[in-house]
Amino acid sequence: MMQSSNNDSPSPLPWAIVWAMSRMVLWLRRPISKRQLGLGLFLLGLLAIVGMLAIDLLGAGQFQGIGPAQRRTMLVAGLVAVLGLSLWPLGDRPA
Amino acid sequence: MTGRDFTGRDPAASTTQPINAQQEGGWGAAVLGVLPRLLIGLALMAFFGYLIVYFIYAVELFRFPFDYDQGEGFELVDTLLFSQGEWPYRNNDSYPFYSSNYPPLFHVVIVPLVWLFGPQYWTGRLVSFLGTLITAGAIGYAVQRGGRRWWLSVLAGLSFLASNYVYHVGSLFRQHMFMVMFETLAVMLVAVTVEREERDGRSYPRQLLLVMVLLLAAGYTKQLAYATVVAVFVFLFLRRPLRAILWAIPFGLVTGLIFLWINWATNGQWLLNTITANVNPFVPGQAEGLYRQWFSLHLVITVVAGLYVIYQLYVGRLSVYAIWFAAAAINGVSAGKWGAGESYFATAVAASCILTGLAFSHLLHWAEDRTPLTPRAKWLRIVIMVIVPLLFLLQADRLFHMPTHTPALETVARALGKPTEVWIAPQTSCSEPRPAERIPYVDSAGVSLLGRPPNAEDRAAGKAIAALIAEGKTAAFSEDAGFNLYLGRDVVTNPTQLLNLYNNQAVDLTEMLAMLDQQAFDTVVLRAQFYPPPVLDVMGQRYETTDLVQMNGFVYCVMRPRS
Repeated sequence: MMQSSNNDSPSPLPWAIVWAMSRMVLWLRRPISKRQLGLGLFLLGLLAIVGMLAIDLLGAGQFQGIGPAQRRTMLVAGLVAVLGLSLWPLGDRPA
Repeated sequence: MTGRDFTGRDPAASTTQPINAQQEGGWGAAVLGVLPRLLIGLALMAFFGYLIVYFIYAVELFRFPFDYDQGEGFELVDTLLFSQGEWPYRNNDSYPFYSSNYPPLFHVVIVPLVWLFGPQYWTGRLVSFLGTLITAGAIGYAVQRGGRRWWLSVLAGLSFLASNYVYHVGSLFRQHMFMVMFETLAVMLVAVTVEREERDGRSYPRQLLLVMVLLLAAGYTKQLAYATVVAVFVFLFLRRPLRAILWAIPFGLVTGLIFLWINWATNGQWLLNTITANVNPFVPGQAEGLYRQWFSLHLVITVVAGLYVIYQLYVGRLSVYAIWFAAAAINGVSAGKWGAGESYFATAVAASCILTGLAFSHLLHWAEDRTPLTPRAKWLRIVIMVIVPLLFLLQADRLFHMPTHTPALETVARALGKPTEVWIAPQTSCSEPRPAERIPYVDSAGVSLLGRPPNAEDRAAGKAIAALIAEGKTAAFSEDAGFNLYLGRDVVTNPTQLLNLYNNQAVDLTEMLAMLDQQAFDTVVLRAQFYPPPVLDVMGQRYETTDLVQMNGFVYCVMRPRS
């Protein structure tokens, strides 16, 4: 009885995927808001900084420690992240 | 939706009222009413003056039958090969050791002219020149759509042609400005399309398809167009993310399939020569210097464009022009690559011309729409109407460049309080340094080897070098392609491409070095010694300089086999 009952109950996973995908499609049909753009820029800047640090940790750069090019790139990436944060208060207005 | 998304405002909603200070009474007010028109007239005169200068330079270049810029002849060779149904992406290991490092479209477009008139330099120079005129027209059209002020649209379009960078390379046999033309047309069309879509509430897929074709054309004219492709797709993503993704997939697929097809057709030489060979060392000082120069020369249009991008980011909506400007300005960093140069900023200049036109248009409409029309509001209008043409005049002054080889042009330069000549020592890589010479050309970009119209002496010098080569029986091993093309002989290798491949360990020089060692070439012609070091070494051992000929500010070293 117990086994039969388990087989009959549908798994929630496919429905969750369908639900998530439909949400995604709905989201993708709407214009990007200033806040979403800001979030994107913030993550981009953050990713670039992490990437630069990773290069340093892996020893792929020409210099020991952070080289001048890395420092400049990290500075620009930091500015991009701050720019992204500054868009956050503008909320759902279209970008 | 209205044009608000396109320019940050709605021109249709404008209650535009002409400024007529004379109606307010008093001669002072009358003068203030005339002043903006006077300044607009002066600004138009200044930029039409640059247009005339551009035409003079272009016509002189069309008449010049040799290389003015070092890479021109190789682009003509690419065109010639296409006209014969052959790919220019070839194996550099064997004679004639030649390959192109550029995509094909520019050269393919010129093929009919080469069929009709032969391998003439003016063919590609004319096509590139016409491309810049089309770009200026597209810039003017974009500003006109956003603002509907003919004089502002004309000034924006002419500002592009007045840029020192556009002037220097716009009428050369180089594909760069043809790429900028496709980029500008694509960006303008996507702006128009999205504006129409949002106004009409329906899609225009055919127009978007045309945008994709133009982007593809830009990319297959020169690889650098990738920044514009990114800008357009970012813009489409911001407006409708799903649509952007759905267009990006087929676009990427078609781009990739064309790439794979050419690579297959050329046995992998396409990938090697256009991608691998373009991985050149980055020179940070070069990039920094060019950024400074770009900003300094184009100060007004760059600052206004930057401010308008910030306005759109925080107050309005980001237009495709704003994203394009940002992408192009960032991509300017690639100008620091060895072999790159000022022309890498031409896309940013085009974008800034459009944004400046739209920003001023926005400002003027804002001033005119102010109600109630208080005395303060009236003064504000007049001040803005005075400032806008004044800023264009300031920009015109910063861009100053003018050949002064005729008495009339020299008089104009003197009347404007500008120098009428510069003194530059000819560039030489293989002779004693020469004293500085008077050059009848002035340029606020600094000492420039581009921009001075070639003259009869340069033509005679080119023919003299060709005559020296003609004394031998073989093709010359020449750093410029023009002399061999002039004589109808093979063009042997492309030095910068060879150096790129050598630096990337992607060429086998054995056969070339053996031929030089056996003195298989009757003549060697050097201009800047861009060949890889082993090639220069064997040249020095087996050849000696017999003649020095000066052309276009360079000393050409003609070498003959040592006995």
